[in-house]
Amino acid sequence: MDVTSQPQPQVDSELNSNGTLATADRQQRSQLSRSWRRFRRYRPGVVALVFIAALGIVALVPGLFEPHSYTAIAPGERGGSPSWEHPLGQDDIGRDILSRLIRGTRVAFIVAFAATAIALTIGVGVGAVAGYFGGWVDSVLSRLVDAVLAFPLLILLITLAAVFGPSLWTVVIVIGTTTWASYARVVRADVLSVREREFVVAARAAGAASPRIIMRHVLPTVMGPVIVLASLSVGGIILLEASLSFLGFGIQRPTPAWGSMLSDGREYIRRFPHIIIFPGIMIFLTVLAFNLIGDGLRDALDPRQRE
Amino acid sequence: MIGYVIRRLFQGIIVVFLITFVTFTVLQAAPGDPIELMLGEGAIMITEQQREAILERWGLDKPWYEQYYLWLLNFTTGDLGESIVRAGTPVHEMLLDAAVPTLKLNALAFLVSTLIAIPAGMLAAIKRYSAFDSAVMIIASAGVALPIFWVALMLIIFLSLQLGWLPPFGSSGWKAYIMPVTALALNEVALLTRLMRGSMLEVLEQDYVRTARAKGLSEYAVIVGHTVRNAMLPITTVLGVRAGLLVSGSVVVESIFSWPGLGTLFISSVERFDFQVVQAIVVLLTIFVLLANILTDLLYAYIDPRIRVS
Repeated sequence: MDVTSQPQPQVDSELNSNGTLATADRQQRSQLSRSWRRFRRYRPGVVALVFIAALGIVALVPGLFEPHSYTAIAPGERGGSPSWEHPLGQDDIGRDILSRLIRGTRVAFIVAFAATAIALTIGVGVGAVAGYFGGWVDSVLSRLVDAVLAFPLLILLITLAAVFGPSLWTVVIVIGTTTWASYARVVRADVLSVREREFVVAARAAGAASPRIIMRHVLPTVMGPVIVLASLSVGGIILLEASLSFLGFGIQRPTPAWGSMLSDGREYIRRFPHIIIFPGIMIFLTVLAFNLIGDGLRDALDPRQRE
Repeated sequence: MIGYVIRRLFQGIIVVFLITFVTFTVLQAAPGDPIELMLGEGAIMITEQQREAILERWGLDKPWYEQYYLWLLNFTTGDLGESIVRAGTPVHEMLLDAAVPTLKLNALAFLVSTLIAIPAGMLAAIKRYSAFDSAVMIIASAGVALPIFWVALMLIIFLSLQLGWLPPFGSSGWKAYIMPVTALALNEVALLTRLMRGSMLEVLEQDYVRTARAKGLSEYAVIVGHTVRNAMLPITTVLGVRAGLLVSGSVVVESIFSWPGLGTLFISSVERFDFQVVQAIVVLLTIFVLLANILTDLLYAYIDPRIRVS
């Protein structure tokens, strides 16, 4: 691996004032394009990105792609096999499976991105504060992180979903507020090592307040690993949501989620096995694609973490 | 080392304390009247006096922090209380009955995934860029992304319903173990294989491996004598993660195969708002995962003298 492709430490734009701001900006841009070049070299990641982009469009405007209404019931056609009219067949009450899969994409994406955003915000905040201030603040927050990490996640999610009543937003909030701990760990460790670096010491000497130092100088330098971790955990969150919905503690009827489609079809596993085949394939492909993008990003942004 | 063990255990106790508190508080916030749940909605009419008597009998008339204090006091003496919804069945009896099938299932899945993943990952690394390596990596990448509940249902469709080889549910006889263990081990095998391959690749690039080759050792002697043990090191660091994965996976797998274990008990207790049982299961499983984490750190410090804990 060539040494020049290591990510450069963020150059502090304000300290070397007098018009060097433009230089820093240009440097940042070239760093981005270098990362993109490195990402492009990983073929599976590029294919996955195209797939996710396509799914993203489907999730944004599902109505354009659904051949039928995703709620239209056809009592006479329960468990209809795949046909020209219904390419993936019909479910246990005659609804078009393809249309429901398409609508389910939106649910999966909302949960994945919204929950990740919540987890990211909490995790980065806690990690930065713990790492930057150290001392008893760090001890307390680190114990909190340990506690959250020690909870068997699915058990916690089911309990919370049952208590607060399962719904789309319960799922988002519950997953978001329980998966932040790994971000906190990564950010804390990185901040610990960054806070003694010259540019941080210099900012402190120049009289900058702690929140400003953290936001402007410390966090930008540790974002690489955080982005990688986020991209790698999106797939896991989609799996979690699907498991929750499958067990009946996630998205509720009639909103179609891939996991709940599976659980609906489960009772008819003998008579209409085709109902449960396609939602599973969608979950699998989507999670796989997010994981591959994560692998590619790791190689591109954070070469230290390469397997 | 002993100081470290004591410190870790002490930290663990604090974490368990935090978790019991959080679970208890969250469950308190749940909607629903415990008495109604016990009697069944509108099924049995009771007078106000009877109602108060029941509340008093179960200690529900006290404020929640007092209830928590009592629960904690009993918990430290090993008393997990009684299930209100299940009319006074002692919680520890239910847990004991359910723990054995769960332990069997998890231990088997743990064993199977270790026995498959370690050799597969090592061989893939040794034969890097070969067809075998590509195949292993493709399967492992797919394995991480597969939803285990879907795999379990597919197994049932093909092996039970189509071919009739294996029972679709239950836990009687060795045949009943095959599908649940496969489903539970799946994600783990995939994760471990990737980890093992990565770790082996790193070790193979070390100077001491080059030295071993340079002094004329056969490739076999180099691998067996100089790499295997070092490459196993990172595997010990994921014990805690694996425990967590198994516990979560267990809930899903048990519910699909109607396995009479903790996962099934947990789901049915959540559905019936049997919070005494829910609380006990959450706390016990958390302690289990926590202990696995502590054990991991100790094992790591013990095996690798470079990391004598700071």
